[in-house]
Amino acid sequence: MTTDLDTAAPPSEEPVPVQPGRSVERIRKFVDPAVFAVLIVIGWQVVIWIFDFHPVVLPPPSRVWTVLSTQGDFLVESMLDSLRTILWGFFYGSLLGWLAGVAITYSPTVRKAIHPILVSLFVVPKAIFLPLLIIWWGVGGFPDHKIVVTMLLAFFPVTENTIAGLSGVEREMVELSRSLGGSSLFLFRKIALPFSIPFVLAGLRIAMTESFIGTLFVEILVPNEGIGSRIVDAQDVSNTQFIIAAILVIAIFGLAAYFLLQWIERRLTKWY
Amino acid sequence: MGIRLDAISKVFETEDLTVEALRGVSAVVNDNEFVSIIGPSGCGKSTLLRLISGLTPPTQGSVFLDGVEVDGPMGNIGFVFQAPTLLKWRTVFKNVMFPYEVLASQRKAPAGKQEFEERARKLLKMAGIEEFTDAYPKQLSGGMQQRVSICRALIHDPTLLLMDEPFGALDEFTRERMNEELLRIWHETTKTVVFVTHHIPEAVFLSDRVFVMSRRPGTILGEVTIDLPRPRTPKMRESVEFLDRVVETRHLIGLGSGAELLSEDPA
Repeated sequence: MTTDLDTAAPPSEEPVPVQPGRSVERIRKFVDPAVFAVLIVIGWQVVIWIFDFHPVVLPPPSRVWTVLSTQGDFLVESMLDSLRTILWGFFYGSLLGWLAGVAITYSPTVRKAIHPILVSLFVVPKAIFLPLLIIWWGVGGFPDHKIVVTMLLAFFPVTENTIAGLSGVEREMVELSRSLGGSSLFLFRKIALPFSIPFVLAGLRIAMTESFIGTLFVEILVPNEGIGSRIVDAQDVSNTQFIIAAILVIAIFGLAAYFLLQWIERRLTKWY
Repeated sequence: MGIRLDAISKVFETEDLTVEALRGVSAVVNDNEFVSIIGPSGCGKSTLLRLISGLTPPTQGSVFLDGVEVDGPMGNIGFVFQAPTLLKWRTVFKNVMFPYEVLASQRKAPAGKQEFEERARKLLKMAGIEEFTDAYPKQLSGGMQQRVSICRALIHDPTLLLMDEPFGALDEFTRERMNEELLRIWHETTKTVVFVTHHIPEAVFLSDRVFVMSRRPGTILGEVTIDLPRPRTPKMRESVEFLDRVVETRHLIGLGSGAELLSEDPA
């Protein structure tokens, strides 16, 4: 919000003063969660001292740190394997989801015939398609079974948000274009499409989160490559500290993806 | 641009509802005339504007613009809606330029892009919002947004301006000022204006003639000729002649004694 106004603020309105509190606030945004994280680590250690948990049940933070420092490269490599699946699934799922949203909005036939089927697929947990997909697809190849499940998860939020965005165009905006003789294609390109952007971007943000869920779920269920599979390996040998370290790595990448999309969203919709 | 409405009726039919919006509406508006249409909510005033603009066809009857029967949007009309209806992802300047893009997409733009850009700047200056040229709509107040939408309706220099309760959402002070500004712009760019409102003093202040419409189905109950001199000044609002026209319009609507209101259903 603040950076957008810098570029577009009308001169006659009061110039936004550089508030002395702002930089402090910006730092606190990062300091507060960091302080809280330190408190959690301390609490974690205290719990182990008090209840004397066996390291297999709850390893101390120091052991997790050892995993991160000695096997960090391996964890990140595995995560990047997963990330490739996540991003392909996200890309194809979102693209198809957007196309489906456009078709459902503008074609009454598609809306009546396909939308109910899509909604019934939507309410079903996507993981139940996995056995079927493995029979059809096998494991591996491109797009592999993981990408397909990830696509399924990324698809729906984008479809629903595209429909909401495109059909939210006000009647007057349509009439504005039509009263000047604008074609339907012009209306779509110049009004409906830009109008729907904030909705679609919000859908993409959800789709990204769903894509992480989809890929990791399949990796845990059918381990071959990726960080989810490595978690299963660690579980087999009760390497609890490795599992916790892996979860931390996944969380960091998930957060990064989420904030990246949020940043893009803010850049593209500063007018919103 | 001259307008002739020839025995127009409009019926809206949906699956479970049939609404007769207009019944047998006939009227003539002269070239460069400023007319207002006044009447209760839901009487088909807005429908009438949409028929004139060619956005919807009449169920019966015909609309003629300069003697040519309307069978679709013609492009030489400016439309101002009750809400500013600005495209919020565009700057003020780009919003005002929108009609150029629509017309250029059909190779119908009456002038080149540069000339339109010059006009846009001139209009924004005339409307007193030139310092907001590069601002986004959300940074403007409601009154300023509506001024932008009026600039947008004027940029392609249409010969007909259709205004659907454009100042309905504004407070009384802003409304009066906008009335004066609209007349100033109208004087500078002579064009026919059809102005829908349900605010009687506004209709009287602006118009050459005021058409009064009935409740649904909308028919024209009569018209009041406003023979006050132009240019109209704020002072005129307090003159006896002005108030006479307001009273005359009130009577035509049926607001005379108030007794009629009690028997009417509040639809």
